[in-house]
Amino acid sequence: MIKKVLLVENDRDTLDILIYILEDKGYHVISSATGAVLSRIHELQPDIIILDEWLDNGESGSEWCRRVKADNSTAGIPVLLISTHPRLEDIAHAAGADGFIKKPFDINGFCSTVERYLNS
Amino acid sequence: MADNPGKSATQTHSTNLADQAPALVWLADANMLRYSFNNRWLTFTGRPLEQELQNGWTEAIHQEDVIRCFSTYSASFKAQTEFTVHYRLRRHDGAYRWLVEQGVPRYAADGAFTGFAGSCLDIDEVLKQQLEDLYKPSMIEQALNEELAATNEELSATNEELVTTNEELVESQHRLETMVDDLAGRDQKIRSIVESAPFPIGVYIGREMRIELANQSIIDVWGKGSDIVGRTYAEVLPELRDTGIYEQLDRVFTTGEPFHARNQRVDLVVDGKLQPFYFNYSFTPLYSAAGEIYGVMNTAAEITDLVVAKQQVEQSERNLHNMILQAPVAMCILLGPDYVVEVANEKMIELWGKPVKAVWNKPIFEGLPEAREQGLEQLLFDAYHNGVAYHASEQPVQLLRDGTIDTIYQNFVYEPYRDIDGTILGVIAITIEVTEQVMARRELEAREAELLLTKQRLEEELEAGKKLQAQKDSFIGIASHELKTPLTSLTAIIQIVGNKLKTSADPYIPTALEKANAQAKKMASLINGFLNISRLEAGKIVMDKQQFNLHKLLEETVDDLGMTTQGHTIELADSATTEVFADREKIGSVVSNLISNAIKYSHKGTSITVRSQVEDGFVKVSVTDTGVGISSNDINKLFERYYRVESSQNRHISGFGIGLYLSSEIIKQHQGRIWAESEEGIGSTFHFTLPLP
Repeated sequence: MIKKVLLVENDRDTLDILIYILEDKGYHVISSATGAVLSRIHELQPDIIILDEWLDNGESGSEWCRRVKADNSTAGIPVLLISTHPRLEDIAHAAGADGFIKKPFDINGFCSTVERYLNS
Repeated sequence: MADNPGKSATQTHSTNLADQAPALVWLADANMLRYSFNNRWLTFTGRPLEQELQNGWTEAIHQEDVIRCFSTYSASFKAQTEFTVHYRLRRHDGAYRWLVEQGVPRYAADGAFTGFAGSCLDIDEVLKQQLEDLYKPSMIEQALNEELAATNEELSATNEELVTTNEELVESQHRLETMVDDLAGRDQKIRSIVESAPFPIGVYIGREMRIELANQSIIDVWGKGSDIVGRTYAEVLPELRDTGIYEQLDRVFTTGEPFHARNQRVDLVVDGKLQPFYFNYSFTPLYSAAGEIYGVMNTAAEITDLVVAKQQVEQSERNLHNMILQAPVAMCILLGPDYVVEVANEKMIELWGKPVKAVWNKPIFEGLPEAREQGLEQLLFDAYHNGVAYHASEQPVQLLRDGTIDTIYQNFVYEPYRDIDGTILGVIAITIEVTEQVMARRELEAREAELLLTKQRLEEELEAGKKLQAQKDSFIGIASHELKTPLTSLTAIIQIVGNKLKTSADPYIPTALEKANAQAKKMASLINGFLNISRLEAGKIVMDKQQFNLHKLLEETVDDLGMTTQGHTIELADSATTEVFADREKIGSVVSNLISNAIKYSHKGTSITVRSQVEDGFVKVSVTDTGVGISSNDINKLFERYYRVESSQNRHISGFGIGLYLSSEIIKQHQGRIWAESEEGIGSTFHFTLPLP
């Protein structure tokens, strides 16, 4: 079955590249530049969520991550935080994220991380 | 000395009664010492009360009666029985009058013997009549003698009557002997009375003052042993030469005038030591039947204890005064209800700011009128009248000093000043001027307030600084984000394109994209380096220490770098398998930095060796290359921030010179050491140590 990746990335160029990479790997990518899409999470039923930490309107990926993890019906969905933040590891850990990807990244590393969490 | 400690209001009352009595009345305590005489007594003897007190009254007793009278007196005290005694007492006009004295023992409510009360009546007229009657038998005797003479006349006439007369003579002789015996018995009686008298009595005969009689009491006082009778006064008491006492005795003997001394100090050798004693004593002439002076009687009362006690009281008063005068704080004694300045030390005078004359021996509020109406009157009143001590601290008091009213601050104490009985005599005032301290403290408080303001200002500034730092941090964060974000897409694009064009017909393209990727990575690492420095300086990098295997970390690092490095061999040799407690990631970055430097500064084809070994509680990691080496000028500056070795050989090598600085900071935060050894042209070895857990 095609895996659904819910991708939220604030930077337009990065978002485009990530969509390209993920679609190139054969995933169904649902993307957004803002966190609003996450309110439709029950409807979308993603297999994995990749969240940028720094979002517009003062939102943060980790805050969305907490909400996902606080809801029993969505808590099982793996969440990866992706950011340039120097303390990303701590932030991801504190928010209950499953993993993190530091920017800038190596696309091979990025792909293998996503793949690993999708299969876990 | 005049006061009887047991004297109470009731006794005073009875004294008043006694004054109105028609007799001479006295009161004595349980020790036979008389402490009260009514006015009639004093009028009779014409002597002041203090001369009569204790045993003083006996001085006025006729010398022929004194021993008898006193023996009755003392025997009655011992037995606590009533007594009646007759004796002659010297009246104010010098005439001796016969008195009859009666004494009754007195008891307290609890039955304790408290002494005697006595009264005397002048029975001189009555007694003389009786005496005349008493002497009538001796007139009969005279008549008998006359009769005897007549008989003698008859003897010459009548021989027959001789025998009868002889018989009568024998009888007469016999009677005479009986009389002599009687006299000897009386003498013995007198002696025993003297012996048992509780006060010193001595009788000295002749002008040479040969001791005829000395009772135990006088023997005890003299301390010369009991074998003194028959010796002269001067022999027994040679220490009294030049004291005038011999002369007093002689004068009494030669003139017949009695001598009385009061509170007289007499130094006697007792136990081989000359010691001071105090006496009230009398020397009275002794007259023979023929009216000639044949000796002197010495009676005395030892009052050493009293005098010593009095001296002690005086001494302790003097001590108190001295203590006050020398006290390191201001002190004074204010006597009586007017608080008269009895003594005040220099400090107190200084505090008052008045000449000594203005305050000394004056009521305090007269000497210091400006001290009135500040509440001190009430405090002194409470201390003096109610015995309430008062302690004050930092009390403001206004005093006129050198013409101006000064407010001074005092810690002071008002303490009731009591005599030995607890009666309040005055007030002891102790004052410590604390004006300077109060001022100093106020200044201190002002400074503290100022300091508080400064502190608040500093805190505000610190807050502002923190804000600025936060802004700076957030700036670094933003800058790093802004730099990394385009780099992220750029790197990703380069990699994607690189993958896609791996098999391009133009061989330059894959190589170019590979280089572009490497440059992008380098850029990311530089950005990270700056970010780390900023965070390190802001104290934001926290060492996340954990236990891990150092050997394994070295292995991983060497492997990772080996994969991405071409042209150099990296090998791990002699690695100690040891656990350390450190931030794994950061130690990894240090090792990685050292290996990267070694690669940068050594020629292709050479190898880089990593070692670790345990030494003295530390593990030492060393990275050795065979590169260009470092000059001795540079070697110590390598770990400074932004330091770069300038040389023609390495100009092409990129970097901002922050790697070693960052490494050294990380190692320092692990309580380790980092350093380099090098020889130009031969190569370098970088070492760091970490403490073993």
